Amino acid sequence: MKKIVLSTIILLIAGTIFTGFAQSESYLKNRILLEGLYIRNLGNFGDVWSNATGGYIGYSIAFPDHNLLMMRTGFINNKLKDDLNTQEDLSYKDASLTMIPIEIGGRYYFINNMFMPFVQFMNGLNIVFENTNLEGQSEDKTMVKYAWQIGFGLTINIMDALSVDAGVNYQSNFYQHDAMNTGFEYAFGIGYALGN
Amino acid sequence: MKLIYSQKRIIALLLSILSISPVLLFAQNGQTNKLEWTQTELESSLYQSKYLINETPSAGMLNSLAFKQTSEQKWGTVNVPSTLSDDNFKPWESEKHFWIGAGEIAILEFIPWALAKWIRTWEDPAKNWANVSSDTWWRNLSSGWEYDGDNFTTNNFAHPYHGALFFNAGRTNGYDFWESTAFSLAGSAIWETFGETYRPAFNDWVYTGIGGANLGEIIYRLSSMVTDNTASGSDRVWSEIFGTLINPVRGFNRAISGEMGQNFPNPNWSRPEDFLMTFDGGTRTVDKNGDKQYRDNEVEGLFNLHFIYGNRFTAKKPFDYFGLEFAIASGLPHFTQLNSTGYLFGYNLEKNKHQFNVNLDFNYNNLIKEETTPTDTVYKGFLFGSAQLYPHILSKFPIGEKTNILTQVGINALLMSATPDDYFKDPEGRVYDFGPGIGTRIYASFQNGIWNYVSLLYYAAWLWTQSQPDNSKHHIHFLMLEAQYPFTSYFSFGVSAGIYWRNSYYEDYNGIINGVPYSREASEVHKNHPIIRVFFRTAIIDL
Repeated sequence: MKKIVLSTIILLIAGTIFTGFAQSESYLKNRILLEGLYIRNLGNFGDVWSNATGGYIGYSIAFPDHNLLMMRTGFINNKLKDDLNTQEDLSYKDASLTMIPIEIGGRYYFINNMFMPFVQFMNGLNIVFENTNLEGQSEDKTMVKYAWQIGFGLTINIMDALSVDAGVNYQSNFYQHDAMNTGFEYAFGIGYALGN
Repeated sequence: MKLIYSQKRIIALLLSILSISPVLLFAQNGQTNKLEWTQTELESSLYQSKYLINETPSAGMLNSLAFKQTSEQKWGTVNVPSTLSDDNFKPWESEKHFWIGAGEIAILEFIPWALAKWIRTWEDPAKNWANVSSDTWWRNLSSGWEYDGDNFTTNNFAHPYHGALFFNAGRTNGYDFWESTAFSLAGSAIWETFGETYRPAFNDWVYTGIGGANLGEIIYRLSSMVTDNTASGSDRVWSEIFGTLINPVRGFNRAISGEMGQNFPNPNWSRPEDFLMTFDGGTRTVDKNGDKQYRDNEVEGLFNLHFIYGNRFTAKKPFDYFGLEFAIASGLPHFTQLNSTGYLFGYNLEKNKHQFNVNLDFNYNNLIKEETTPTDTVYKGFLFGSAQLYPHILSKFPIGEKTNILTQVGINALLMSATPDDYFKDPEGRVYDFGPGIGTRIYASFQNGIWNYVSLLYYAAWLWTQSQPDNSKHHIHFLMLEAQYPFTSYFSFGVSAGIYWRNSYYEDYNGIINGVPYSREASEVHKNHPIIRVFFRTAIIDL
């Protein structure tokens, strides 16, 4: 089993390196993208859930010469603000708020090069699971809310098939009227190109 | 090609109805010098004499840009001698001009902001929404979306029209339909977050961005149709003026790029293979109470302008086909209808018979009849607005050479819609609920040539209220049967009868809306509003 895994990894790396030597017409390609994220929440929502961490997995389709259509899903876990999680106030004990985003959107790449700055827009639905509301009342609830974010970033094509991404996004997702799920998201990802 | 009335009269009529924004006047004023120059150049005596007596031109005449070879122009070709036509002229829209487009969005944001900030007189200066600062920007970014309390016309027409101008900041600077939609969405998001002190309104963003794309592409195509790059003389001057009135952003770009004074071929798409413009006038009777007693009717005059652009079976690009309906009523509110549907993409199932199309629709139907008493204002009648997608199966069943039965069966996917709220009145003027929805639409018509002898429309949708107070849902229906009989090839008499009915389900609500406590008990409300129309219709242009 170990040999199979090692052989697969070696073949994958070798393939990536060899395709890196090949002449490439465009760096803009269909890609699988894995991203890790950190979100600093804002406003009334951020007063309870200070930040969030999670990740995305997505597939993107290239439309020459500048556009990338992206579809992704993932998992986001929100972290309770430190001063709410005290031994004196047990309202938020074991409080949890997680989200599964299902989104579609795209990127516009300004240049098609090794270093590719982009602007990005994503939107879709967040499936929200919570066991405590913002006021600290225990209540198991599942909601489906519209999610929206816009931002910019940079893709670095380190090899022909392999790229790394970094980006900053502003998000304004629906949660409740007086406490929308707004925040700044910092994302770092790895992309692997499939074909052309 | 059949031109029933004179072209100038048609264009004037078209524009008198479509030129509805003060922004248009700004744009026109800004181009006065350019147009005067063009007119002086083109209306030369050489042009006049050649055009009228049709004699062989002299060498001097050939040097005039205003010279025409024949009085009959062939669309899309330059009708001046090749020595005078600049075949190498590069049309402005053949390249992308991002920074010009971005600058135009900035101007389009600045004008209404500056009017509110410095020109408008505020009874309470604290309510001046243009007093933005870095604090309001951060507050808006932190607070996120809300649904605003503006009245129906502001939210469902003024914002989409503003979006149409944003859209054209992209479209007339070399971007395609989809890319230009990003301009209207971005322009709206910037305005909502940074142009007002209010929290950004989600309904504004959808109506401005998506409704703006619909109206924006329509005015782009109508403007391109009216403007004739091959024309000269007064025809050219008027075509530029009317084109600018329909689409001020395009007119502005034609002025700064020099296209207004240049002869070059029209884009081959600028005149569609089919185009029909009809006008009808008549009366409409609508029941205001909706209580099944049908004793509170309002009879009013109704004037409708319809456009059908392109062929829905051969459309390839977005809005290669669109339909537009615009209506003015003698009673209040005068601006009562603006409905459009535009082809986005589709798949041919059986050539010229069955097609799967997805359209982008915009609906504005304002039949709210306001009645003011000494103690209260009552809102009777109904309204309906939406920005929506319409995936559907389109079928044509030929009966004779020019006779068909046309059917459409599809799904209404409402991205944003508005329908009356029976209880809530926002101080800003909103008496309706906002929300997404889904439903169905079925349409069938018996057609002969340009006339629909009989047509039947059923439209239904479930709407889930997202604006505050939000725990309600509405089930709305339209059913409309129309029949018309053409007396001549371009004149018909018609009758239509229909009903709008709505079932609204309200749950208990106890909350605070804009700082004011609001409560409501659970209830169900059922409304029925029959509508009857009698009209005479005439075909103005049939291409």
